[in-house]
Amino acid sequence: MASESISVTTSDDQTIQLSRKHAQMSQTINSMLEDSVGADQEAIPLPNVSSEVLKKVIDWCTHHENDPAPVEKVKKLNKKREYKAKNSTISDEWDKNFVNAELRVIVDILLAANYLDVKGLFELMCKHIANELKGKTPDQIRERFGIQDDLTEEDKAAMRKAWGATKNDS
Amino acid sequence: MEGLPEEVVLHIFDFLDIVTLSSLRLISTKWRSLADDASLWQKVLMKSFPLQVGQRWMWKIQKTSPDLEVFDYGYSARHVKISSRQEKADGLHPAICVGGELDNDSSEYWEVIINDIARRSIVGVGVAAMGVRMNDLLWDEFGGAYYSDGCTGHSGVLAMSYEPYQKGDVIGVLQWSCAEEATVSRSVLMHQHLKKRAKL
Repeated sequence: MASESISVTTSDDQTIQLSRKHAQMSQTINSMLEDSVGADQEAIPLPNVSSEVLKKVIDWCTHHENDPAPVEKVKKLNKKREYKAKNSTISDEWDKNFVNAELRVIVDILLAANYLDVKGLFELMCKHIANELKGKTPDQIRERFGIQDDLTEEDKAAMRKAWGATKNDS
Repeated sequence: MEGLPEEVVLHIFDFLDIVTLSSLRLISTKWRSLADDASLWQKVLMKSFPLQVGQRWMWKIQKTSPDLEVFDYGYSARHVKISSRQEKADGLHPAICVGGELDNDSSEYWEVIINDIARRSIVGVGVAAMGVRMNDLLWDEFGGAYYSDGCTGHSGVLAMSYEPYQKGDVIGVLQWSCAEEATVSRSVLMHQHLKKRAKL
């Protein structure tokens, strides 16, 4: 019988044990395990994930280990054929608390969830960032995400020119 | 955010309404190009318009305020300009209104494309019925207003901005297809339009 725990090596050279159940919540690790059935289990290298972030991912997996597998919903247009953005509501209280972290940490977890292919965690982080963007003015978003406004006056002038506005109009 | 791969950013954008998406264009050049991602706008724009293929629409631009000037640059495109500064207490600035009428006797149909609604700072688009006052409009989730009575097909489009418009600003171009294109499907038209826009 396959061993119940899996070793992985993180980017900062730490070896971390995680249960088979949690490891299999990552499609990336899961397919590595399937590829190496019967072979001696060596620690799986995860060069893109730090131990700090991996611990967060394991926390999330522990909380969600008994969740049913996600079902892909087919989106239907309603009668009025309106565009409906995907729902970004985070309903789980534990999840709400989990995303209450520094932006840097959020981005790291999102990158790890993407690399490890942990669907539920990936969706959660995307929803959270989307919620951070919603209803904010460009200035507020720049401040929140620390972005420089590099749109030059020339850019803006070029845009106007493309629209046929002449100097006399402005 | 800087380190995120493009496909991840676009996945995040899937959760956003058209208002937020449009304001992302004003953040920086990088964000502008991400928010301009053709597939995304195609999705948002196409689904934003309750136009049915197979219906004939006659369109005219009407002035919603004495401060608006409508310039006709030919049969296929009209520019709408602001002739004086517009101020609005609620922060949104209605700019364009297009009226449409449905003719059930014809098998032809025309289509209206809002040509690049987000070129400057227009943050929402919606549909409003002709002759319906602003207060009667339903405000939808993408920040536009819409009203449609369904059977007669009276309908219109409003575009809005967070920033007050300045005199002389061109806030949008409205374009509709001519009869030869009438059999072309809407998705093809939209695709051509987006390709054309990418070249600008």
